Amino acid sequence: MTATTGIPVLIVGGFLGSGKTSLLRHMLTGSSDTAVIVNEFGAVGLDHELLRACKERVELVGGGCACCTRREDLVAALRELLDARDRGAQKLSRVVIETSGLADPAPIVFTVINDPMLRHHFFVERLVVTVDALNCTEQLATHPEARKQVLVADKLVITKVDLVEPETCRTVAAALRALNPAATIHTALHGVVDNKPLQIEGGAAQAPRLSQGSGTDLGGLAHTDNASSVSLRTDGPVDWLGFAVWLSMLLHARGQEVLRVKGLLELDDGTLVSVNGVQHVVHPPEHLDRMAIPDVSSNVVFITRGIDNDRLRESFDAFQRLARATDRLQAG
Amino acid sequence: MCILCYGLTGEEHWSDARVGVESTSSVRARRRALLTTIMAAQGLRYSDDPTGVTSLISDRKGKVQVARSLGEVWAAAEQLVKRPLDPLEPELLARLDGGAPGL
Repeated sequence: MTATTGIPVLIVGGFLGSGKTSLLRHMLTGSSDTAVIVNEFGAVGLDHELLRACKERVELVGGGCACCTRREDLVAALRELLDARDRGAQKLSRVVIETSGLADPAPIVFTVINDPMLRHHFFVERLVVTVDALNCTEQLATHPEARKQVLVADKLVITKVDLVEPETCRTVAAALRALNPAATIHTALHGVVDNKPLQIEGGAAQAPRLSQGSGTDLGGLAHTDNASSVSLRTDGPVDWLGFAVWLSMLLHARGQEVLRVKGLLELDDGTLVSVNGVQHVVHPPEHLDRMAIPDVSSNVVFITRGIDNDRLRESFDAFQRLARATDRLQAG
Repeated sequence: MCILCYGLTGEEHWSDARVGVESTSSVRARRRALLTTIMAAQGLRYSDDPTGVTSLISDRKGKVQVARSLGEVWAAAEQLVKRPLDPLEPELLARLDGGAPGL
């Protein structure tokens, strides 16, 4: 099974009052076959026919690691949606999960990817996190939950941009880029997202071979919790097996410290695959259309906490050398 | 459960997804060789069944641990060597770079 087989699940997170519901309200207009799962009915101002509420109920698996937590409530809600679809009671082309403002999105991803039944019917399409332009500086500085949400996002949406000066919006975008170079950053006004990503100087695409953060002065936000980012780029193709074995071992040993892994790998046979992981939870790799992205080389962004980025690079290189040496021995 | 050996199959690991054009048997053979080298650097032996689902890791005293996926291999090896295996540890990288016995 590939990463994109089944019904897409869009996870919408963001700190309290950051505009998740406004975003959803606009997103759901006219999409009657999209199911929405929220934490509590009363807490949202949504009127949607496929709205379901579930009270957060968690079961720790994997030795109690916080990211490897199974959300039993979500398992039940998603299975109910499948049952309803199979009975013919409703169409189901997409599921949107709106997290509570303080929720850690990692267990949601873990639940969808690892549940023995759900993983054959659903895949995590994207993790969207809203960020309030007006209040995020204070929220990110004082609430680890808000920082975690930003760190694990695939797409960051800056909301309430009409309430701040353009310069403030640019500073917020730069801060978000420094925290999470792997995410695309967009703005939204009254729930309407500008689909064109913001271009931010010093972003991941322009990062040097081994970079930490963006180098932008962000009042300390970028290094809160000792989180830093490193972009592992290679000049040539990557040995997939060497990468997979290395990443598996790294996440076993340091999964709590590797907050995010995201990037593209160009393999020896020319195949392009995407890699996407949140702590111990890694999505199955996804093949990308080489023709659609002709000019690209391997680049994987790691957001880590307490890991020496030079050592990370050395370790990656060592496993690549080992994989190639092993292949040569086998061939010889 | 495997209908042939009655062994409990582990959870599908993300690295089990087919990537690129390489055949599954070739990937398994290369993975076996790579893990054999890494385990040898810890003084351990590695083997797996032809399907690549079940891995056996053993030490020189004959103690054996079973792993049902790549994700379980590291914990199984740690049970035998009685210490964490960390790919960022310079000594481990030096042993891997120096070439380990077993190939």
